[in-house]
Formats: sequence, C-alpha cells, structure tokens
Amino acid sequence: MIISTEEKKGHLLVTIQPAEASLNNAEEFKSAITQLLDKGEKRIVISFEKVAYIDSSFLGALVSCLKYAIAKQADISLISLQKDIHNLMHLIRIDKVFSIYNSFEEAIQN
Amino acid sequence: MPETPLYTATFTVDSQVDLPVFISDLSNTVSAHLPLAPAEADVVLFKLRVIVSELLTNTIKHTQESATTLLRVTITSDGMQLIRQDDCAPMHFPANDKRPSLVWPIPAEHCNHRYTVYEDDLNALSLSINDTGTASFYAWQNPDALINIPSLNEHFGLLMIALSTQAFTYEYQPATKANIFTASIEF
Repeated sequence: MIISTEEKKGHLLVTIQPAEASLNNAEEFKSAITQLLDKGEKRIVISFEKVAYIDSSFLGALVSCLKYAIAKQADISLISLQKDIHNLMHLIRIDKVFSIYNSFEEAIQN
Repeated sequence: MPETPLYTATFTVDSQVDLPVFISDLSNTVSAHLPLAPAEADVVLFKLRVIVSELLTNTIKHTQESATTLLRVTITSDGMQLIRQDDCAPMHFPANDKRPSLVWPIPAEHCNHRYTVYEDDLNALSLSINDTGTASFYAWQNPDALINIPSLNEHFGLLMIALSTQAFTYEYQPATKANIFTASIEF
C-alpha cells in the first residue's frame, strides 16, 4: 500500500509508506491521492516521515496532485520532510507552491 | 600536463540497481575524497546525489531492461565530473509550439541554435546546440514571477541536474551509438 490514511482533527493525514518515493510508485501515489480528492476530501496533510529518498518522477506526481486539489477546491500540505527532500523542493522552487510544516499539529494550526 | 585526479571510478549500472543504496554508498565513498571543508562538502554531496539520481532514473525510465549504463566519477582539486554513457536510443524532444522536434543525431539546421525545453513561472530550461551537435543545458529561475499553479511543469529531471551543475551537456556519437551526459560541479 503506497499510503495509509487517518482522519484526525478535521483533516486527513496521509502517510507515504515506502522509504523510496520514486518512478516505481509515483503513478500509484498520484492515483491514490486523486481517489481521495474524488471522494471529497478537502484538507489533506501528507506526511513524508517514512520517506528517505525521492526522485523527480515522484515530485512531478506531487505537483500533479496539487493541481488536481486546486481544481477540486481542496488543500494539500506537506509535513515531516527530511533535509534532502526539502532541499530538493527548494532547488526547483516547488516549496513556493506547497504549504510545508514540521508536524501535523503545526499544519492544522495554519 | 593534466592534473592527476584525486579520485576516479567507473560503475556499471543496470535497471535492477537499488538506486537509493547505490547513491548512498557512492556519496559516502566520494565524501572521503573531497578536498573541501565539511559545510562545503555537504553542498557538493547533495548535488552529487541529485545528479546521480536523475541521471540513472532517466536510464531506468528511458532504456530497455537489458541496457547497461556506465557512470564515471572523477574528482580533481577544483571540481567533480559525472559522466553517464549508454548505447540506448538517442535523446528526443518532441516538437511543441516553441520549438521543432529535436532528435539526435541532430540535423545541421538545428545546430548553433538555442531552444526552450520548458518554461513555467518557477523555472525554465533551455538547450544550446553547438556546431557538432552537442547540447548544453541551461536553467534559470524567475523569483519575482506570480505563480500560476495549474500551468506548472511536472518534469524536473533535467532541470534538477542543470540547477546542480556549472555545466551539463549531452553528446551523441553515431558511430558507436553512444549517449554521453556530462555533469560538472566546480568547487
């Protein structure tokens, strides 16, 4: 299973399960998030706490999910990014379009 | 007389490689050979991980199961060079409204031109083709642009490499059918 989900304080906490977020599972992730948005989820918090490695294909899928969320008038925020992953998002500036927080509590407060 | 490298090694990589493990091991190995202070070395090692990840992910994505790729790493006192070589299908950028189809070996009419690969409100990537058909990639960013999220590009591989290097080139050798990507980082 690419993600686990948990309803928490009016938000849906989505935790990416594999340590490797890559070309191998980018489409599966995109499909899973799209299904959640199609079901009407409006406030999704995606946790990267288990992710140690990410590549451009997965980042592309993440941007695709954000676009779909916007079209569905939903919100996606990201939490618990490891240093390399945050630096990678900063490198290509997609940290400018995602709301990124250290923790779930911090995300829901904002 | 050329400088003797501080470190050089060539790795054979195929589609079965465990990329995160390979990259982590390579980063640790290279770390021991960098002539840099720890803070500067951390920056270079991050770039190394980005470049190798994208060079080899590209291999897995765009090449056949049986294909193998050579990755050569060379460290000198003033920089690091990463060369990926394979004999798979040459690079191809389909035509769009801003440029013609580009496929190597590149026709003479496309030499000595610069083309936009993609461009959005966050980043842009172009390539410049010289008179022998070698492409040099250039990335730039516009921090003042208003960001229209629905129009954002979703392909970041070549952009990440270009943003992590001082020089990033692609060369195709028709005689040997070799694709050669060269990424250079200056210290």
